[in-house]
Amino acid sequence: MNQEIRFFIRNLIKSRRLFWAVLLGLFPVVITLVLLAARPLLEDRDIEVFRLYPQISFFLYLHFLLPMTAVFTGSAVIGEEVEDQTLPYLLIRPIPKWRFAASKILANLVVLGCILILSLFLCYTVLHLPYGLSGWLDESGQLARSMGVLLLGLAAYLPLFSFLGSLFKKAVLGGLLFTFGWENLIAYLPGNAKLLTVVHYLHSLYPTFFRSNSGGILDMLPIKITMTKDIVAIFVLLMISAAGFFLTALVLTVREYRLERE
Amino acid sequence: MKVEARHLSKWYGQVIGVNDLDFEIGPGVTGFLGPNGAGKSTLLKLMTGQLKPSKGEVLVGGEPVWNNYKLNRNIGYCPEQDAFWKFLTGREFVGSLVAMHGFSSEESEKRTVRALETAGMTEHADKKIGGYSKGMRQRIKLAQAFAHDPKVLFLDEPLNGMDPVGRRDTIEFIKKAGRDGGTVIVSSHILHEVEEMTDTILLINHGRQLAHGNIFEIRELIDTHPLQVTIRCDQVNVLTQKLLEFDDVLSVQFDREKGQLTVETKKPRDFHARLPDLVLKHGIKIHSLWSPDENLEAVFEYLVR
Repeated sequence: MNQEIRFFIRNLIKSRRLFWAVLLGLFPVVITLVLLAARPLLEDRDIEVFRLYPQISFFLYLHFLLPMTAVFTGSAVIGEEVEDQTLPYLLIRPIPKWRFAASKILANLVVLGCILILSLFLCYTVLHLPYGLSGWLDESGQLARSMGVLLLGLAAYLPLFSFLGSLFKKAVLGGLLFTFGWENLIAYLPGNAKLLTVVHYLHSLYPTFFRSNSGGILDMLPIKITMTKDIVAIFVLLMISAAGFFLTALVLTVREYRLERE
Repeated sequence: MKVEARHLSKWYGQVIGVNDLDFEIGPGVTGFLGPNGAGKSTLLKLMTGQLKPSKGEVLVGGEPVWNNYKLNRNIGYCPEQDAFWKFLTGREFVGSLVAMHGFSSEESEKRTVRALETAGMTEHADKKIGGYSKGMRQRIKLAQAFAHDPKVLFLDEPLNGMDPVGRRDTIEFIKKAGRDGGTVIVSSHILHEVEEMTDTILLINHGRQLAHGNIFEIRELIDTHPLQVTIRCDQVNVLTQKLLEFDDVLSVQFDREKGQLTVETKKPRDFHARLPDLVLKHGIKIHSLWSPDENLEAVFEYLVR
């Protein structure tokens, strides 16, 4: 399997998709640099820039960068090989089809995970620059936790959208509607419907700052959102990931792909 | 290694891809011949396990192909479509795909170098495929198909876009692969290309098998279309007169200026068997003898139209 993973990692690194992913990853870093430049203005209003890290990681990473990268790359895992008509080169190798699906998802996880983590690390570091190493270390637990949640989120979303991409041509649209429509709507409603979103479990794992009754963002809502226990949230996210892997591999194994322009 | 189709059909909803094909192909070169849209590519995809038969089966070496990934060790496939990971170099492209056959890195490297050399791509191996000409892309596609030394090679329109030198080299390579005991199946809609590679053809049109076998034998079976034989000799009048005495000879046209006559016979085998005795008996000196419609094009025309 190493051979296939290395092949897909190399392909991803050389592809144009990586350029866009890096560009997207740099976007929050640029915003934090702007905030750093505006520090005197913010401090005049009693806002310390390092205190903006939770909001930035929550809105820009968990609710923007993570779903965007997962939707666009996940739906392309099988979809781009079909669209680019390169799938036959892979399927006539003495390797079971499920291994191609699993290898490509893993390759994407590794590369995109690195981009997300590096971007978050840079963002955190930039915001803590004025406070020296001790300031950086004081809040580093929050950094580690948000990194872990982002990786878990990527591990859940990516196979899920790979599955959609293996089934439908317009999987990107479906993915965007799911993440920016369904998830954003349902996750903040009372009742159990939120259990049908991925983001609910990510919220449950996010640093305590965001939890109810902790003075965090969710406290601003007029209703009380109950969270899932950490261990349950991790288990559900891993199950979603496993289901995504399994279903993508299954579709690739049983489905015939008629390539474009045939 | 033998390739078999048993009552093989494939349809997409109401559209028939191939219909009830039944044949067996052994070592050597076999040409899949048919006009564009005849079902050649569908057939190759069925034979390489990319498509699942709607009915019947495809066997390679006695084993069904669909979802039988282990069989792919013995299969090489050069697709028709001009599709690549264009950001890879030729060496990376061939090397990565060869490595997926489970060879060690040294062995993969060795096979890649050899395949690139055979395909005449050594000089351009480290350039990105995106910058290749159409002919170079065809060669690199071919290189990935045979780099792992498959026993069965499926080539879908392999000469498309190649320059004359590329065509010559590729035809030579295909013929050599067939002579060396490999089973090589080449699809093409260009008749003279196939004719240069092999005498064995499978003719398909509208997804149906029209004929399979040696081109000359197929020609003989087409009794609705008499065979034309043109003979240049020193006694055109005598030969014309003698030939008209035979029942199977339908007509004789002669051209005194050129010193040749063209005979139409409905029994080519009998005609060819009888001719040597006839010319010896009457002392006729034959300068040349050929059949203008015993080529692939004529067979194709008769069967398809």
